Amino acid sequence: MVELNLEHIYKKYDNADDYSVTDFNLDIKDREFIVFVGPSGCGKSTTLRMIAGLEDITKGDLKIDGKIVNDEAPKDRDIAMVFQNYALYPHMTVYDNMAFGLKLRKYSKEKIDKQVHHAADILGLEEYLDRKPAALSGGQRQRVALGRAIVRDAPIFLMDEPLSNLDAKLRVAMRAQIAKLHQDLETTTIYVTHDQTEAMTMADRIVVMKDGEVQQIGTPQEVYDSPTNVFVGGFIGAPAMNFFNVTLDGEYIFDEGKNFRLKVPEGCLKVLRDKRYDKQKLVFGIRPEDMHTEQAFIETFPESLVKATVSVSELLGAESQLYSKVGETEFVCKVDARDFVKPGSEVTMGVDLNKAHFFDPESEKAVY
Amino acid sequence: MKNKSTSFWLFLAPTLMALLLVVFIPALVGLFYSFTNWDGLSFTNFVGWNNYLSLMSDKDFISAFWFTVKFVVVTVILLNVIGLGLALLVTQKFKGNNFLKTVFFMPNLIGGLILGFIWQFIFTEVFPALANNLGLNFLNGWLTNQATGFWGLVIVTVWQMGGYIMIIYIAYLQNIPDEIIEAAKIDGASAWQRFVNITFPMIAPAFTVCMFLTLSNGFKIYDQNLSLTNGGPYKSTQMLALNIVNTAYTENDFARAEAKAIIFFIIVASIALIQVYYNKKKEVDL
Repeated sequence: MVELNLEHIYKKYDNADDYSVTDFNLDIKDREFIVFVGPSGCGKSTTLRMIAGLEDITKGDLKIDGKIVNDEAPKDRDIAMVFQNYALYPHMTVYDNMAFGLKLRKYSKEKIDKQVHHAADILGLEEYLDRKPAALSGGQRQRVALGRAIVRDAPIFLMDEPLSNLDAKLRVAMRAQIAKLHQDLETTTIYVTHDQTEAMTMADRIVVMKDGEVQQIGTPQEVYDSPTNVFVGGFIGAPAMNFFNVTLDGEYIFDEGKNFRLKVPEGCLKVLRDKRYDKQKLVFGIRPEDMHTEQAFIETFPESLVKATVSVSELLGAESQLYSKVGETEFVCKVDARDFVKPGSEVTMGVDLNKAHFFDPESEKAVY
Repeated sequence: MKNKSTSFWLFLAPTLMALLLVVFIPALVGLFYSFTNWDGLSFTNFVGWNNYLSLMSDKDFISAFWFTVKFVVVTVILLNVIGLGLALLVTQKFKGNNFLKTVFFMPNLIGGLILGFIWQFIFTEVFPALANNLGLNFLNGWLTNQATGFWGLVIVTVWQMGGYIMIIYIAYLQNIPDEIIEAAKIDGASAWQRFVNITFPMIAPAFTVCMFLTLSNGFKIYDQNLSLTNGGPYKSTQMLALNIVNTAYTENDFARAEAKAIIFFIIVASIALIQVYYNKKKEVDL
């Protein structure tokens, strides 16, 4: 059993004017897989390094199992960590790389041997145990780095962008392997990435960060379905959510150049009116997959249509992405591959307004 | 391809010429003279191995040899320990580490001859003054016997070269990725364990270079010896290079000096090469 509590954590580097991490609050439950995601420089790695003990915590409390560990050295926190650049010891063999932490903890030779071979077996590294890291490929090195964390049998795993140095195919394979490892080992894991796909596919809960501040904490489904602000809406999901500046008037929303008029469903309309957005400006967000070009949809919802010009159209095999423009606003629409459209042509698209998101244009916070 | 070989030799020529003119040809000529009775101007006949055989009974040469060996052993250890220690110190994150780096390196910018005279003043004027005022008796009478002469030479050499060795270690220390040290911290290594298990093996190439430099420099030392003690008292602190120069220019025995120089060269070259060979074998590919 291990629980982690981050309470009002702040980080300011010595020579910086601003905080790199501001008021970070998170309670991590035993065996949870938490992913910190955000653009580079958002403070996600810094937060992870504070948990590891590699950076000092400027303000706030970090608790492991209820005990404040702010001032404890990394070696006393009983954590294992995987680094982005593997950080293998170049002068040691794969075996010694994995055994190093155990030797320092004065495990018996037999126990070290057993644990290293066990980890090597899980990761398919048995035949490389005598090699030095220089003689391994990127994927193999990453597995050794994982192995070094596994053998330690630590209750907490920290991973700092462990897959970003691998090629696309290997990344997908390793993603699955890490997810499986987490299920088997039942460790509490904190994983840092800038890749929202990794976050969506692996996490129990996602922590979306920007400029050192937590934007939203929730399950992948929650973060995807109900983003709390424009940033989260735009960051999670690929391709990103489309945003239009609109005005609510009666039952309809209009864009700035009155290029389209969309009927807002009743439930949504009631909320927007209650919040006094009638005749007010709003940011309307819709995901590419919630826009349709099928004839059936267009005929069923005649008051949810947008006429747009397609500027680029990408065929991805099963689906096509139409990079389009209405008025001055550019957006992406994800459609079936059969509905491939030639660039330059004008297309009528149906918008599924039941999946609409509305944000306040000033605060950028979600309204509906 | 003809074009390539022309430019190849063209680029090589200046260095090759310099090496030939000031290293290879003089060395060969020297080797030749060591078998003659050359007096610096002319020679009358070949003497075979006589010059070399006479060295066996040359007490000054033998004592200079052992004095030098002792000096090399002590300075190699001290220079590497102190150089690495200083490098570790100034690569820590604290204010003024760049200033200290410069300060530690500065003695190396002063010529050995001048350095010898400066320290002669310190040993023979400053030390006794300190001894009188503070009652520290061991500071009296430096450079007046072999022991204090020896340690005087050691101090001057270490003071001069320590900063230079430090710079080499710094270059290698800064090449160790932070992540590797951090990984070791997470693995549970204390500062000392990190040094022994990670830092030290990773700067092994620096160790090879510094060993070589301190070793060959220790054997070849001349100007500090000349200015600090000039071999005295009674040739008791005379080192090999000084002994060879004195044989040639004081005793005018150029042929024997040549023989000594050849022996000297063989000793230094073989020790240095053996050392590099063994250290290289231990190094790791990064």
